[in-house]
Amino acid sequence: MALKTEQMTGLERIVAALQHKEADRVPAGPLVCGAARRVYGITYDEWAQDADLAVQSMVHAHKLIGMDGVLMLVDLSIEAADFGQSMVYPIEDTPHPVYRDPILKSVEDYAKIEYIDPRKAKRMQHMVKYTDGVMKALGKETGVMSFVYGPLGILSMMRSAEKLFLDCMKHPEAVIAAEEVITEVLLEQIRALGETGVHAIVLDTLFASGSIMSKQLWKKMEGPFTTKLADECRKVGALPIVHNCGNNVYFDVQIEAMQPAAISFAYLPDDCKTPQELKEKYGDKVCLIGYVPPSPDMMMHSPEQVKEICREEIQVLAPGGGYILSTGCEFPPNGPLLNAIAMMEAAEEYGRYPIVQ
Amino acid sequence: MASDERKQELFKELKEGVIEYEEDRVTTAAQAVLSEGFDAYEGIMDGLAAGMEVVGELFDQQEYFVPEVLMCADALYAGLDILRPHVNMEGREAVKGEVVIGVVEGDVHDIGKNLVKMMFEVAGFTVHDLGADVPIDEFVEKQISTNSDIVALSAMMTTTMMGMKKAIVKLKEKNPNVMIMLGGAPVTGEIADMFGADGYSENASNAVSEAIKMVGALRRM
Repeated sequence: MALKTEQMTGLERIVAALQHKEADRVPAGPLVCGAARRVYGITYDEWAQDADLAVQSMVHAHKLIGMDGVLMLVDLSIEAADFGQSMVYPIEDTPHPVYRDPILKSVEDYAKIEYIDPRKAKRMQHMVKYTDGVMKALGKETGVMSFVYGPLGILSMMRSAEKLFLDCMKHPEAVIAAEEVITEVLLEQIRALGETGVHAIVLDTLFASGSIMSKQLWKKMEGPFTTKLADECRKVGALPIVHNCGNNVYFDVQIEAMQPAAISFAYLPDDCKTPQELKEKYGDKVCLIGYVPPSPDMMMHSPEQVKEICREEIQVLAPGGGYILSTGCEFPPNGPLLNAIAMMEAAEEYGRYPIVQ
Repeated sequence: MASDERKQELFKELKEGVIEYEEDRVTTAAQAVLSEGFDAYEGIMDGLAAGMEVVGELFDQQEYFVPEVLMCADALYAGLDILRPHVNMEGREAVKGEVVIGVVEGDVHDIGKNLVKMMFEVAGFTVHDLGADVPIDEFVEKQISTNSDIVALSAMMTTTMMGMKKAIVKLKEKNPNVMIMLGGAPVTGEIADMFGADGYSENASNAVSEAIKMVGALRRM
């Protein structure tokens, strides 16, 4: 259901937004990831493990929904699995670690993490092939963003979030030593992704939010590593984009650490009370991507309600460019696809520049 | 030192030990409460729980975050493990209520659930923790076997959140009077209403006040 009345390509719109310019209309793209498998009629476990099927799923989802940009998020355990974490691949749900059997069972285990070559690692290679396939199929006209989970996030998948948080407080040096090894692997993964020509790489730094930890602790525990990752993205020609779907997300320290081209967010930053304040404070510093809530809006509301929420966000965040209409996090893998289409319709109906107030 | 003065000093140690997440300090103070013959229940309520109340405020004010709260919880449990076996409930009000708590099937994210459980425990509820990835029928069976007032369900994902709706139908079918509260990242007050829950908790600190209201409502029925 690609909309017919458009003039610019999705990629051109996104480039304009990243340059803080107004395109023909607001670029838009609900973060349809796991839901794409339903368009192609395959199971979640197939989609998460077979790159060719994943590419076909995204191509078909793109044809149906017409996103201006697509995100290559599969799940948050891609890297952890390659470090040896045992996994579950449910038929109808997001793959995840066997949480009862974390590979990091004690603080001492952090020191056992060894460098692995991402070019030979199964799941990280899945990400590269998936990115490569989608770039070849859609990359000329659609923004393509690959995905890398931050080092603290990866450790949470191998240790359990609760234990990792306690370790950050009690044994920060052990955690940081493990992050150093993981970061080297991620740098090589970014180089491999860069070879696909992907337009952008999304770095997920979930822990830099009020939902999780203080700014001071994040700056100590993950900030320096994210600087290296973002710099490497730029070196390989891919724009670094931050995704953080936590509450009270820390725009300031993440911009300082990564200088991202854009931030994809689900909730307002800790230092902004309204979307107007967000636009005023950060609108010229970073492109804003968001922030329609996957739940309850995309999951439970009607397409008409979704369009109304999109209209409200466009009105505040779109004027002057620097804004991509999107969901604040992954579109619910089990959510109604009509709501993803509704977001694209809203961009067309309410997002034509200049925005009419 | 006068006995009452000493008691207050020890309770202050418990309270501050929790706030400053100093496990050893709490352990020492809790042992002193027992060895010096003070009341264990008072130590829990006026020391540990009072400390956790401040922690909840610090969390609300964004002074403390999840790692700090988890550290405080460890300190609190260090004291609770020492004092709880010595609590004498004779002559006191009965416990506030009983709660069955767990993370719904398919979901294993349990930090929020564990914090809510801790708040219930320090508030004097009896808590039946089913853990994570709990099949719906297990909630139903546990509620019936314990005749609990409240069932608290948690989910972190939209996929598993839908299991809450089924759980509510089954629980209410077996016992229409049971109060059900929901929590977890994708859950909102609107979704709790839509699913037919009686309460919704945005975070651990308001879960208990919400539960107390629900138990009150239940007892007036």
